[in-house]
Amino acid sequence: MKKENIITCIIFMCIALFAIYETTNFKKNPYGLTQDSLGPTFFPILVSVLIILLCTLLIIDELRKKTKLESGSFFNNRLIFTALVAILILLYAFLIEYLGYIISTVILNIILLIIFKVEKRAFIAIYPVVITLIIYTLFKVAFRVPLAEGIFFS
Amino acid sequence: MIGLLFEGIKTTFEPLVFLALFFGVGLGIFIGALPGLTATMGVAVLMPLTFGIPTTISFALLLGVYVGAIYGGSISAILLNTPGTPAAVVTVLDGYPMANRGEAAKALSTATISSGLGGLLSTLILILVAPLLAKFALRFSAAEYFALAVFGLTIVSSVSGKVPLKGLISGCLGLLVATIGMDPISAYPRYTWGHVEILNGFALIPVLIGMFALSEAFIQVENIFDPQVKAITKFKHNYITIKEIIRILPIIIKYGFLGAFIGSIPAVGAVTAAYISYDAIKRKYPDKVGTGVIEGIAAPESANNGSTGGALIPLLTLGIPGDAVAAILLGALILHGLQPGPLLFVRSADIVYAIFSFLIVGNLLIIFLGLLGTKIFCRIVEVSKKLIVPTIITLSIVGSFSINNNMFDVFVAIAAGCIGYIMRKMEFPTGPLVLALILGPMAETNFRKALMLNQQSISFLFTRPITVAILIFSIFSVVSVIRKTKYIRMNASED
Repeated sequence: MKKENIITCIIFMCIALFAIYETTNFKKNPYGLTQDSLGPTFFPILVSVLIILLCTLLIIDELRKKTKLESGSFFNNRLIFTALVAILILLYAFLIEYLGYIISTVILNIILLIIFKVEKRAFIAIYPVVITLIIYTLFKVAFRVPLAEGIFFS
Repeated sequence: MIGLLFEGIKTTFEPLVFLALFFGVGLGIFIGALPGLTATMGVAVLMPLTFGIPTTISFALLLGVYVGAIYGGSISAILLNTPGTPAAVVTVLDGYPMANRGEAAKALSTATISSGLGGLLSTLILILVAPLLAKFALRFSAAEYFALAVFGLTIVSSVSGKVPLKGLISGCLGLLVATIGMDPISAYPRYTWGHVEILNGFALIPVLIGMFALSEAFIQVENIFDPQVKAITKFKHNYITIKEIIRILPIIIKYGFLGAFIGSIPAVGAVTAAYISYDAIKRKYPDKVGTGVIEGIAAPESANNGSTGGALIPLLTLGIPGDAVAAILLGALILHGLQPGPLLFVRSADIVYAIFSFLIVGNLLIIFLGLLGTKIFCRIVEVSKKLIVPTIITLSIVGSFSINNNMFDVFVAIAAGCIGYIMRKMEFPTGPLVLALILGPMAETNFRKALMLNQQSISFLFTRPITVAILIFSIFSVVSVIRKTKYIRMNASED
């Protein structure tokens, strides 16, 4: 975990530095509020400096440890599998608008059950339809949430 | 107060409200019993469902899930040797040996009685303490609220996770994210780059759903092919006897109160309450506890459910979420147009007392459902994650969409889910980040307001006694972080 911790801290420090840099584009006293001496830049700068300080402390802590600069268990096959599921969810979110809520949700659930290696085929066919219809009825009919109908139903 | 409480009880027994509470407790027990699914995730996934329904029904459902899930964790701890929720970690130590001896029914009924009574005691504390604290907090001004936000941030970061420094970093990242959107004083847009969707910052609920529900689903995806542990299904039906209940009653009362006290401290929730109480009971009966005795179940179970009422004290009275579940409940209060804090007791006393009543009846329902469902529990704990995970994902997506009916929130939830998952993998706790999202604007707004009220002088940090007291506690908290870090480093180097 040592290497990953150091890399994560460097990423966080870069984010903080970028946040500080961005504040140079902020107006110090945008609307002439003279009572507010700190302005919109104060808090982001304070927090960013704190992040840099704390990350430096963590890096020093990690470097002081006597273990070698090894990778921990972060990058493994399980991470790739989870990343695949995350990409599927992202694709699903994009598809909702086009295919509509019902079709895209049924497809997502079928794919998930297949990649999770659910063995019963009847289950793969029925469960996604049932769960999608329950959720659709609950949100669309009971709570009147305008779920996307997509190109097939609109 | 009695009149309001009576009205609250009346509200609880309105058919739809009671049904929501009953369903919530049942669902909570189900969620808690499934290893890996936490009370936080359950409440996060269900919160958007409450958007279109009346406030009382919503809170009956959410609080039912909350108390039910904290109890439910003990079921898999006893039957599977795997705690359903982190709060039930120590219940395993005596619960599973009892189940192995064929005394699962006794262990489960002990956990049920202890959880229900512990929860009832903490609700009593909540009812007695919260109105007094709220009355006191009405005197607070911007300076005190700033100090409270700082205190909340330091303590939350210091007790979360194995490495306190990571908790602090996570908290600071939350503070930085909280600055996105319009500046709370001048309304100047910060880090928006012309995108109107984030002018008001990121909507809290999609972030909560992503951080707590989707990231949890991703963690479960990782372990989806791990073999599922078989539950102990054959056991003698010897429930806890009246004599045994009388024997453990002092333990339940003592640790129920302790749980309520621990729960009321921001960030120190059910897990710490369970650990401390188990440690105390182990010291009292060093030879017995750990071998499978009812005392070893009664103490942590009364303490962890005891913390539920306590956790609502800072939330309802000061508007400060004590833990992740409280943060979600805060989101739910805001969703229903209610602002937690001392004024809630003045403006919406009916809702506050209805919440108290839901907790009373919810804990009684735990006892009822818990004793009735012993046999069913063996089936619940074996429900496959392969079916649960797709359902959580589907509900999370539709839930984050339903708040503002826009897809932007869905992408925020997915991004928060991925970030939350990576953070958890890297052992950066996500709780401080989310709580900082809530407390950040509170700290910034009140600090700048206090400065403006004091003619740009920071004298309010040293001259207002309550502010000074709270800030001293915050300093203690930071010092304890540094000491804890040093201790961990020393131990690591010795290893």
